[in-house]
Amino acid sequence: MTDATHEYSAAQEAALSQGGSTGGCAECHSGNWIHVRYEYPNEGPVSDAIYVVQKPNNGEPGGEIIAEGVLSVTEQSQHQFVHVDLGNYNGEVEVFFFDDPTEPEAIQEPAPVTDERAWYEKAATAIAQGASDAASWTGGVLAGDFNEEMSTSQIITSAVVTAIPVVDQVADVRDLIANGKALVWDRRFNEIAVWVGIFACLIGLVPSLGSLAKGVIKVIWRNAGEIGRVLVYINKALFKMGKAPNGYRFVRKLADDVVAQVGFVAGKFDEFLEVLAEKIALARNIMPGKVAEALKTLELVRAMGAQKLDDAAHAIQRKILQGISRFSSRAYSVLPQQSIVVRRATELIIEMGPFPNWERHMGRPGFNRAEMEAGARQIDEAADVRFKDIQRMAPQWKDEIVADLNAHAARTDLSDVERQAVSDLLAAANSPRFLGTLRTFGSKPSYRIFQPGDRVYRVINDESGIGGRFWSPEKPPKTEAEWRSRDAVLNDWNNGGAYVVADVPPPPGAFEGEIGPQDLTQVGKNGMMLDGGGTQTFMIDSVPANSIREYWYTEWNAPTSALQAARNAGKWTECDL
Amino acid sequence: MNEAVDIVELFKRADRMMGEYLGKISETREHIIEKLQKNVELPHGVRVALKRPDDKAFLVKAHQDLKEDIEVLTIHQNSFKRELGAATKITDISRAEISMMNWPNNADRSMESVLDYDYLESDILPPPHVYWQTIERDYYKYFCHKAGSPEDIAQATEILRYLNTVENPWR
Repeated sequence: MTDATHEYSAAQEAALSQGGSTGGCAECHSGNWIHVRYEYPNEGPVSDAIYVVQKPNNGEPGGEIIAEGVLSVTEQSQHQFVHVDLGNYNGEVEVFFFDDPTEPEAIQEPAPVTDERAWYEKAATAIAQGASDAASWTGGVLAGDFNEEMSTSQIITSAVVTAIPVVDQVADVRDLIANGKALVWDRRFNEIAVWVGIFACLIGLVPSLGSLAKGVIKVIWRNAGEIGRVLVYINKALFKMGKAPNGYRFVRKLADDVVAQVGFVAGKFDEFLEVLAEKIALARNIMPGKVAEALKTLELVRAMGAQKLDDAAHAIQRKILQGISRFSSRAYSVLPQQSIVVRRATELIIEMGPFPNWERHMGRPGFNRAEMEAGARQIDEAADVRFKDIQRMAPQWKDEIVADLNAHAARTDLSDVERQAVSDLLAAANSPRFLGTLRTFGSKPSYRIFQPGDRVYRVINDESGIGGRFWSPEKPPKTEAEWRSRDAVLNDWNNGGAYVVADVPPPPGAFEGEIGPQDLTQVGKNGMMLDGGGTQTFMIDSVPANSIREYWYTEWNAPTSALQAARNAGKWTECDL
Repeated sequence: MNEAVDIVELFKRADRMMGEYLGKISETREHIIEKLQKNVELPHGVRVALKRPDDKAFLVKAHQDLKEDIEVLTIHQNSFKRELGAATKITDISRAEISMMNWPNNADRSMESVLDYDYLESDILPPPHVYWQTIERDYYKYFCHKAGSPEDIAQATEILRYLNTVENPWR
C-alpha cells in the first residue's frame, strides 16, 4: 500500500467515527445557518449525495456558491440534518443536490509518472512502431475513448487522494498512444474525440489542476450523467480526509480552466510531438517513404494542434456545463435559521408554487409567439358584427359609467375612503385612454371599489408585468387554450408563463366586466379570433410591487420534478453540530 | 360617395400614422443605445415615456423589447394594408375598421413592459392612445351606425365599391 492509500484508509476510518452528536449545540446556532436533509420517498436519508448552497438564482443552479458538502445523515446517525453555516450572508439562499446511488469502491493507487520525458518516449515509441504494435500497447482502447479498467469511483477518488499533478504511468500512456496513433497513422484530425483524448491526458500535467481535472474530464466526456457520481466521490473523499468539500466549485471552475489552459496543453503537445518526430525519424533508413509521410503528417498535426486543442477545450467545457445543469436537482429557496427537507417523490410533481419570487423559467424560454394562439377559432359572421358593435358602443358605455360615478359621488353617506375611490374612478373614466380601454370589454363594465382582503390575479411574462393594468378576479384556468380564449390574450402581449396574486387596495378601484373578443388579423393571423367572455379587472392605477403575495407557474408552464421540498424553523437539536 | 372618399382618406391617414409610429419607436431605441454606449443624456421626450429611464438594466431590456414591438406593429400595419388591398367583401372593410381601432390597444399592450402608463405627451414617442386620438375622433364621426344595420351595410358597401372601382391605394 502506498502512503497515499494509507492516508486515504486512515481518513476513511476517521470519517466512520463521525456520526454526529446527539446533544445539539445551542451556542453554535447564533449566526446565519440552515439545516438540510435529503430523503428517499420512505423518508430514509439519501447519503450518497452532496448539497450546494448558493445565493438566489431563480431556482436554478449556477448562482454564487456559499457552501457545499456531503450529506452525512445516515440511517444510523442520530442527527437528522446537516448544519450549513452561511457565514456573513443573512439573506435567502437556495439549496440543490447531486446524488449517486452507488457507494465508492476501494481503489488501487496508479503508479504516477515522475519522469515526463520517459513517459512521452514510451508513448512516442509505441506510435512510431506503427499501427500493429500500437494496437498491442493500447490493450484495445479505441482512440477518442479512454482506458476504462478503473471505474468512475476509482478514477475520481484516487485523483483526490493523490491530489498532485500527475499522469498515470500506464492508463494515460495507453490513451495517449491510442489517440496519437489516430492522428499520425489514421489521420483522424477532424474527430473532436481524438483531440479531447489528447487534451485529457496532457492536462494532468497542469500543476494547479492535476490528476483530478484529468479524471473528471475522462468521466464526464464519456457520460455527462456521471456528474453526480463525480461530485459525490470528490466531496466524500475530501470529507473523509477532513478537508473542506469543494467538488462542485472545482468542477464548475474546471469548465473555465480547461479553456484557460489550452496554451499550456498545446505546449506539452508540442514537446510530445518533438519526441515522437525523433522516434519516427529513427526508422528513416528502413522505411524512408513511410517515415517521410509520417513526419509530414506530424507537421500538419503540429500546425493544427493549438486550434484543435482549443476546440477540444470548448467541447469539454460545454459537456461539463451541460452535466452540471442537467443532472442537478432544481434549487430550493430557504431562509436563514430554517430547515429544509427535500424528498424524492414516487410520482412527478407539478411545481406550480407558490414562490416568493420570480423564477427564471416562469419567463417560458422558447415560447414561439408566431404560432397560432392556443384557443383561437375562425371568425364568423356573428363575430364580425360583435366586433363592430363593441367599437361603436364604447362611447355610450363611457357616458353611462361617468353618469353612474357622478351619481355615486353625489351621495352623502360615503366614507372618506369611498369618496376618494369614486373620485379616482371618475378621473380614470375621463382620461383620454379610457375609451380605448372600454373597447377591450365585451359589454359595459361596472366599477368596483376594493375592500381590504380583496385579491386579484395577473398572468405575466416577467416581473415588469406586475405594472400592467389588466388583471383578473380569478386565477387562470388549467390550459393555455382556455386562458387565451377566455381572456383574449395575444401571444405578442403575454407568453403566459406565470401568474401573480396581489392584495388590493391599493389601487382603490377598477373597472370590471366581460372581456371582449380579439381579432387576430392585427397580428397577421387572418380570419382568426379569440372569443373573450371571461372577466377582466382594469386597474385605475398600478398594483404596487409590495402587494404581490405569491408567484405561481401557470399549469401549462409548470415544471415537473420528482422532488418536493418542505421548510420549517430549524432546531438546534436536529443537526450534526 | 363623398363619405366613402373621406373614410378611405381616414384609412390612408391611419396607415401613414402606423408607419410613422414605427419610426418613433426606432428613434427611441437610438436614444437608448446612445445612452447605453456613450452615456448621452436621454431627451425629455424619451425620459417621460419610459418606466425607469435611469435604470441601465431596464434600458437594455427596453431596447430589445422595443425591437420586438416594432415587429408586432409592422405586422399590424401590413395586415391592415392587406385587408384593404384585397378587399372584395364588406366583411373585409369591417376587418380593416377593427384593425384600425385595435391599433392603440395593440401598441399599448405590446409596449406595456417599456412605457410608463400615465404619461400623456412626448415629442418623440407619444402614448399610442393619445397619438391615435384624431383617428378615434374621426372614426366615431363616420362610423356611427349600429353594427349590422342596413345603414352600416350600405356604408361598407359604398367603401368597398370605391376601393374596387375608383381608387385603392393599397393595390
